[in-house]
Amino acid sequence: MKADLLDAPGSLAPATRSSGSRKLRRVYHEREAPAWSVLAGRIGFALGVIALWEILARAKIINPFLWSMPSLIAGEFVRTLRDGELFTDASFTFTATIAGFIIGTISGSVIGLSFWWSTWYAKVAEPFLIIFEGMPKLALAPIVVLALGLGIESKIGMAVALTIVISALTTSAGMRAVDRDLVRLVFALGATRWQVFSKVILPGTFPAILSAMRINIGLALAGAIVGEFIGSQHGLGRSIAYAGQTYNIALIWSGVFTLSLLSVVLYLVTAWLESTILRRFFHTQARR
Amino acid sequence: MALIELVDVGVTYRRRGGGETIALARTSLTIAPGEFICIVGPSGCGKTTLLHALDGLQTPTSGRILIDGREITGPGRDRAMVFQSASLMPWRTVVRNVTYGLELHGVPLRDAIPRAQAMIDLVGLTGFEDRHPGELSGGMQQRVNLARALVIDPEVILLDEPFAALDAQTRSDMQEWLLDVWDDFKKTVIFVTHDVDEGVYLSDEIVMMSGRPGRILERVPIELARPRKRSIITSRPFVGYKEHFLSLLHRPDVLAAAS
Repeated sequence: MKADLLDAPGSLAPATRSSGSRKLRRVYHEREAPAWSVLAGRIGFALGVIALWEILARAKIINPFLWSMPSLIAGEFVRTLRDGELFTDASFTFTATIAGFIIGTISGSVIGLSFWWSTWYAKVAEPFLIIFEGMPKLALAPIVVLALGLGIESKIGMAVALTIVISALTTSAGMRAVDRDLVRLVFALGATRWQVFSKVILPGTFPAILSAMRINIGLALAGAIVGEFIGSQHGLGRSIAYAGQTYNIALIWSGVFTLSLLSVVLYLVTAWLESTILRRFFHTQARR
Repeated sequence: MALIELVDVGVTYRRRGGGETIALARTSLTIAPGEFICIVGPSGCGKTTLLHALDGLQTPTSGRILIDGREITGPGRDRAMVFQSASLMPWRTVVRNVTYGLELHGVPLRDAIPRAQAMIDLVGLTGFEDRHPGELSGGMQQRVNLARALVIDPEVILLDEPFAALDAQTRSDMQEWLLDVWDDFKKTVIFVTHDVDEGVYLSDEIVMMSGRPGRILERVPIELARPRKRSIITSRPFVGYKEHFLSLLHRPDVLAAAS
């Protein structure tokens, strides 16, 4: 009887049922694409873009002087790699980034945590923090470079300027999210203010501090590069700025790709560090 | 002899931008040792305020609270609180969550751990001592919460809607479990709930409160034999109590605060 109903003339049921379910599966992304095909697709896309770029530039459809081409970029990359220039620049930028990241994250977190101790102090500081956060800190670069000089200090300074407020704000938000009942309960058990802070607030805020790290690593790199742009002896940022001034477009691209690679590696290491610490010591997962 | 005495206790909050809210009108209450009291009332009736005042987390605006004849001025070891959320430290294992109160009181770990273990056994979590709270179900977390309160050996246990966040089945299991555990430790229990069934099933006496300003409407002893089995909830006396409280709860003046 059911079959009759479905097969009845004019009934759309059988047709909609089969095509509908296939459609549904696509809508809900029920079918996972196999990993090898995803990887193949990604490599294929990258190779396709590179090939297209090379062809368009060689055929002069895009201006090879303005856009350069993959073969020249690879040549510059290998040249700078051979004469050690790439390594010197990359390690300079890397050092400035890591130093600025560590200083910015730690001091920002300390500032954020300090707000727990006094509501008055937190209220007074709040607007200044928000103003500093809204400020385009990259525009401060000339002042920072003038004040701290052409050496690595000014690059670290820029990286700190970009990361410190994010850490302070994330930390103080994370602190407010600590379980209030737990704070009450520990206080009711007779804990002192310091014990509440060190045993509940600090460990309860730590995941927020860690999640700020993931944002900060990219910002620290951006800060270091801008510092190098303004004035520097070394660094990938200086190398790119120099290449721009001498119209060496291939060198610009080579520097940009090296930076992207550095940025991805730094991000992955930070994210791995975060999830490892959370899993091992806090038994929770990273917040995405 | 009364263990707990509330004399004219009132709590008034100052509202932002002037005016005052009377959370708890002048209230007097005496509670005998070993009694299981349920405070029942609509939301906003001041039952949590009353509980916080008993724990010393909230200083009353007027009146005095005496425990064993001593006036309380703040939190103390003679009272332990259990909140609706389990509020465990996710970074500590079950046993170390339970020992925390003892650690705060300066008990060395080698003494604290066996005491915590005894409580973990009592609440039925033997074998879970080295797990972390994230690995436990809501009901199990709430058992750890109670073990943490019991381990400091308080005179009075204060529970603020401890099972309200659990699903119906788990809640009913936890109620039976709480009565079992209470049979063993026989401390004074003050249990706040808005669930009439829960109140009647658990308590020796129900303190019924009304909406704002929060005040005590009546005290009704629950004369149901212990130990109580789950089947009691369909018995005639149980239903009688329930009808009485439900009709009271739906009176407009009692509900005042809920709106």
